[in-house]
Amino acid sequence: MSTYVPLWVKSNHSFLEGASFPEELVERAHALGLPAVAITDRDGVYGIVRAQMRAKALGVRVVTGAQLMVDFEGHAQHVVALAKTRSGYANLCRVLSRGHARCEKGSSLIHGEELGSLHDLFFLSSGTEALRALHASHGPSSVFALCARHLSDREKPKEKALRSVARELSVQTVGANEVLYHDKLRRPLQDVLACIRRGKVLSQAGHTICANAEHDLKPSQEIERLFADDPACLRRTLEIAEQCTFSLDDLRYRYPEENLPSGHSEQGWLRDLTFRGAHRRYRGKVPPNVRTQIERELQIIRKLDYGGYFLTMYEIVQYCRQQGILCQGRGSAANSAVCFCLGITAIDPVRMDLLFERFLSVERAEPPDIDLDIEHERREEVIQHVYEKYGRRHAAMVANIIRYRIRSAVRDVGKVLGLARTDLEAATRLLRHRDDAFNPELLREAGLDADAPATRQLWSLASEVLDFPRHLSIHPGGFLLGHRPVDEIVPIEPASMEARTVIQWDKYDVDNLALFKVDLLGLGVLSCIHRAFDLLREHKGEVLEIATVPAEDEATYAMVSKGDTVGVFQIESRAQMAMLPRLQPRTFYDLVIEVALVRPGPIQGDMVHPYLRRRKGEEEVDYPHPKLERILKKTLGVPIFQEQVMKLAVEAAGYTAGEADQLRRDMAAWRKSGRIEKHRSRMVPRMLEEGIPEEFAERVFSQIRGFGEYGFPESHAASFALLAYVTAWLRRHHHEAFTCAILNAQPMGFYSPATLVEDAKRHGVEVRPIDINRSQWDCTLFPIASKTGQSPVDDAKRRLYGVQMGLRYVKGLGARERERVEATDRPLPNLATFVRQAGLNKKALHALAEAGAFECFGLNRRDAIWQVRSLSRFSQDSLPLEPASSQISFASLAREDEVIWDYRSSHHSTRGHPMRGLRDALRSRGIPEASRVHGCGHGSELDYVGMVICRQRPGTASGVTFFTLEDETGFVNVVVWKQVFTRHALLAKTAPLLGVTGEIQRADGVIHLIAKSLWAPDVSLAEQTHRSRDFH
Amino acid sequence: MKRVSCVVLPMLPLQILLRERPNWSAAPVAVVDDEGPSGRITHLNVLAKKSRLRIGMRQTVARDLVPNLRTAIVLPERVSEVSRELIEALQTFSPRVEALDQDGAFQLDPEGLRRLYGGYHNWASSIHRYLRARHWRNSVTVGFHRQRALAVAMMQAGVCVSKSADEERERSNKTELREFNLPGELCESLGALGIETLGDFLSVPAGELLSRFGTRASAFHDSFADDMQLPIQPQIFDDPARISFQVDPPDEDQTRLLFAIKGALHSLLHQVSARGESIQALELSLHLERAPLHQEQIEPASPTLDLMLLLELIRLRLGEQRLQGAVEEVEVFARTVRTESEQVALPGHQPRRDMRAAHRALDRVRATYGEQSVTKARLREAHLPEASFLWEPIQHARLGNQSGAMPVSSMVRRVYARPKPLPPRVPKEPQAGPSLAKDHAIEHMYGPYRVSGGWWKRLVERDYYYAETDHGDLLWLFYDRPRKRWFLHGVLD
Repeated sequence: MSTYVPLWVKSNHSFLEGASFPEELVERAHALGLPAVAITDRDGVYGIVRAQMRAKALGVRVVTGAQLMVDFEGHAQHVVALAKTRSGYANLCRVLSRGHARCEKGSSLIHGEELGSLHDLFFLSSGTEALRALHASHGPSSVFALCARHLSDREKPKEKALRSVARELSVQTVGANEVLYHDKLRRPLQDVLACIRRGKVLSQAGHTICANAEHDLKPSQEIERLFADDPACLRRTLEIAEQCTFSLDDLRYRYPEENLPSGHSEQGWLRDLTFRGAHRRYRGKVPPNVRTQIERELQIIRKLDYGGYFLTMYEIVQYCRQQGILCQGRGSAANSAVCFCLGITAIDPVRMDLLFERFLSVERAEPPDIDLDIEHERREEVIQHVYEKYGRRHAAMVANIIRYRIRSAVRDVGKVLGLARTDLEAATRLLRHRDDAFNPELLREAGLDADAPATRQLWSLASEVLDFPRHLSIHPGGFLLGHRPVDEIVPIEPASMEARTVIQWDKYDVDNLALFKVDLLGLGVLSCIHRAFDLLREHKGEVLEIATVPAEDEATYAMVSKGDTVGVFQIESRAQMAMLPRLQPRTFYDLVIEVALVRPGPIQGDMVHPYLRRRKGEEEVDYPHPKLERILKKTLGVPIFQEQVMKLAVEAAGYTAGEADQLRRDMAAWRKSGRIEKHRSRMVPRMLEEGIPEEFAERVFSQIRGFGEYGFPESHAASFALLAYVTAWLRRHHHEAFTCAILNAQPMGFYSPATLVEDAKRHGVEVRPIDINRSQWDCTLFPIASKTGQSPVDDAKRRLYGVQMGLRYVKGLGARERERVEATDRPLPNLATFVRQAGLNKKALHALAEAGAFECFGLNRRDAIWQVRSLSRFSQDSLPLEPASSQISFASLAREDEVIWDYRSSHHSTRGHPMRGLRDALRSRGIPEASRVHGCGHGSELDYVGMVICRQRPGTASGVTFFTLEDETGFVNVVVWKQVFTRHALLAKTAPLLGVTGEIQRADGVIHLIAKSLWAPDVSLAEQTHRSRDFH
Repeated sequence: MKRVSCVVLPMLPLQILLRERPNWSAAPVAVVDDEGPSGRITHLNVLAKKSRLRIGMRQTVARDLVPNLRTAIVLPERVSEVSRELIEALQTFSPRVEALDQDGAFQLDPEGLRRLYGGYHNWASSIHRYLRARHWRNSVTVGFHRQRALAVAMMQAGVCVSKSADEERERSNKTELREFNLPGELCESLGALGIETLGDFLSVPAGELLSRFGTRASAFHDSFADDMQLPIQPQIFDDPARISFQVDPPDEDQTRLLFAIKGALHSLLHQVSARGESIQALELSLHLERAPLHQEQIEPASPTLDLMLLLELIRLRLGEQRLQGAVEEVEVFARTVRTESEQVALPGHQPRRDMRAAHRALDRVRATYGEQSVTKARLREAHLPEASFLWEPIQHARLGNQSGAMPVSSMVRRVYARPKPLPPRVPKEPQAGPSLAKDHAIEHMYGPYRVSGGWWKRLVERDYYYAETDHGDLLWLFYDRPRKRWFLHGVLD
């Protein structure tokens, strides 16, 4: 029988102090036979959910509390507060929120008087001032003198003084040591964490670290020996724990009620809005199967009382519409007809035959999860709207707990051990390319003596600290909203980002407690689409929305099928481009499959080739078991989507709904290695029992493991496919508007602005260079008068506009310069007038001159630079005095130099491709351009030279690196095998201009150059023009 | 026309690094300005350049590209130190040597010793060979204009003697601007205009440069004008104040020696005083007959010119010594500092305690018992008792801070410098407790107070106790867990 409950326990969620996971502390308490354990993290309740979840499984009770830093008239002292009831817990969260609000991120300070009004809490303190103040406000029943005995000689006189004050006030004593780890073996790690927190090295740690290893969770006998002179103070811990009846299960969470129109209930209003939306979506004729589906969904929503959540999402979407912000729901919400009718999602789940239960089910009774993608440039407006509408106490963002990964672990631990920073830097650099696998050999490679004690300690401690929380960050878009203030559920802290607040729990905690979360995510392509629609309305009078873009357009699919998809959302990568000519998408559903197919899940599961063969009719469509036909029919017998894998588990391996859901969770928690593996022993034998061939069973399982890395559910793929289709349609029919929009929405997508500009030019779009009198901040469209008929592209006659590059592309200009330039009265007659009107500094003027923006004044770039350096002295003058002109004139740049200057000053060139200047030299050596490479036959050997615009080494490609090389006529995809890459590693990693000798591989209209060797071309151009995207 | 010479040791910090780490010569090497990941490369060796690394690149990026890259910082102090050594070496070729602003660049006056070497070329070649023999990469030029001579030396390896000012002009005009110690931004801006070489630069009127590129560019331009040439400003090293005398016949009588030293000191003080300096320390070297050199250092509490004080300190120091032989020669070096003027204290405002007297007293103690004999305890943050304070020598006595005095404990713990092991006791320590001397027994033990740590170096685990003996003594003991032994660490009284 245990004689005590540890009441002062800090987990590793007391960042950089506690050295054990909450689960480890609970497990240790259970192993020691303790009836309960308090979790009292520093200044918060960060670790309580994880502790509670583990405690539930083990049958241990968790007392909820926190260690507060309290200021008693100038004396800052620790007070341990324990929640007796739900109301006490709410008080604790509220006061912690106040404490954090007045401090810098990561710390809290509560004023002593604030504790006076807090009830239903026990306060434990070892400070005499704190004891007196708390006794004065709460009396002796809720306040205890905290006697901690860690065998330190400083404790005895303090305890003596504390006991004297306690006797004087008639306050009872309670014995509780400060627990920082569940086992003494964690002591070194705790020392390291303490040093990291204080920025010290161990050899100079002094009192930063504890005097001994007595901060472990002790067995009863040991703690009894320590308090042998006062056993009553230990018995009191049991009494206190007994009275702390609060559990996180008591959190009765209610989603905020929306303001309803009079006479409407929540459910009634949702129903009303849904059918109004359905009427609009189906143009007045709601099909019966849709009506049935809606009724069924509304019934489930009513049963689960989730109406408020849908109304909130509807309200946010409405706000976006009103503000002209493009948004679209993604993820499993696309399985819901209600979401479709409310305008939250854009995919018709009935037409797509999507499964609603993937989104919401009565059996799971989990909160729905709707991720709303919002134009990335305007997401903050929506976030601030949510704060404004619900109030700062009712809305806060979900935390993202930053945890130690191998590189940060090596860096921080190594620093504390006093290792040289250069060596640590070398070690962390090496780790980056090793898939985060920790291997002591790496430390040797980095120049560290592997046998030195410090190196061995680095190895063991860095491994031990992996996955430990380091600090609190902010989730990209998750909001917790509450009918009651959120700060009664969990403390709210100010985030480092201005005007943001964050709760102390991450999304896993929120999920575990079944709290509702609203995800507002930024998506660049929505900004691009919005901008393109605006341009079409403004210049061509075409009014479009995502839903009204002409569907199933043949010309669009023809373009996509050629792999001509630079800039097209989701299907623009090298791998997607290579797949498109094989898959030949002709319908929207083909695009859905395309989006889902080129992902690690299907690739690792070896699902891609069987699907392509069956699609081309080269392989018969068969099903390993008749009952799988219904699941796999849409994808020709090959599982591609996450839902199919789940359904397979149910149908073929006899998984229950609960097991299938656990499978889904395990697939989602892909970082936790091993969670997927446990399904193998369960799933494969069961499939074999059902008569499914072993080969298929193994393939399904390896795909499940692949999905653990990353896989798409069908609904999610459909949402993305829709955006892919819209961008493809824009690119096909309005390439100039598409280019202009995507250039203005940067940074986004896969390609650099230079490649987008080159691609547009190759498709006959006229792109004009930056010009101070013509360019706005953003890129714009300009009408083309007569040249259109000469465009090489067949339908260029219909194209009426070209793209004028904007000033946003001049390197070195920012918001302030934008404001000043926009305030000028352009067009202006000369440089001097511009300089005076804009009042820009020398650096900005130099940048504009270098970019060629002053050529409209008849100045070549060098002359312009020479002049602005002189004129900038007069930029603040109000009188239009012309400074004396210089007699010096500089030579104009050569054509090739102009291109180099363009790239240097604006990361792109409209004047030409850097390769054009080399073409004659290359041609004389028999080296072909990309367009000629595409005409070469399978197996032909050739040399090729191009600019590297992308290097990719996917985890699924067994060390193969894919290069995309570009010249003035197009791209060449180069495949570099591991041994070739290793042989030419330096060149492969660094060369902006690369020569490749290789063999053409041609299959299904896809051409790759298989590299045999790499070489540096004997030309110096393009050194300064290069910016590739590497290693994704 | 008067000639000038220039010696350039290109990339001096890198050369220093490679001399200090000869085993790095086969690896790509970079000098960085900071150890951290954001440290930037300032110099590269050829192998590193071939690996596509560039000056200005961040260390983290460079390591990413070249994992076996060796990097280190070369502190400016180290570069200055080497420069001083180089100047001393170059002073053997010309008495007039000036260190230029640029690391590793020196101006020499070739006129003085030219004839000795048989012409400028031979003289320059001697310097070049001398430095190369010591593994310094260098170039030596002889020309007519100090800046142009430097420009030629930066561009041409080996030895270059210009025959005429025109030839020198022609050669120097080809030097690229980025070779000079000009701000990178200025070079980039000029480069954008196509101004890449010194010749390009000098063809632009100075006035136009001033308004566009500021004073640095303009001053650089002016420095090439013939009428703006500065003469060499040679480095002058002050000899230390020093005096020596022979003792003939050798003598070991200290009184006679002191008398002789007094005379020498008098003249040394005169010499120091004339330089406006005071003596901070004296280094006394006594050359003994048939015995090793005997050296002493005497350091007064503050710089002084007081002959009697210094003599008294020498007397006290020598009085403690027994010389191993008769003194043949005495050398006295004086470490000096510039004399600070001091305000005369007003009468009647003397502090109650005479700190000067305290300093004199401490000087005498130090002179008698050695420089380390006067120490004070400095408290340090540490859990281990012996690590929580440090005895450090002090030079000056200080008045205690009386207002903030700590309350004095009623007991004093006298800590042994090294804990004393107590006789082993078997079986089953520590339960058996410590064993003391035969006639002592422990009546009460208070503790344990546990101190453990140092696991990263040498694990320490001690359980401390206060023990009361039957004689009424209070002992401070600990049980050392790794060593399984009791130790006495102090006593209380």
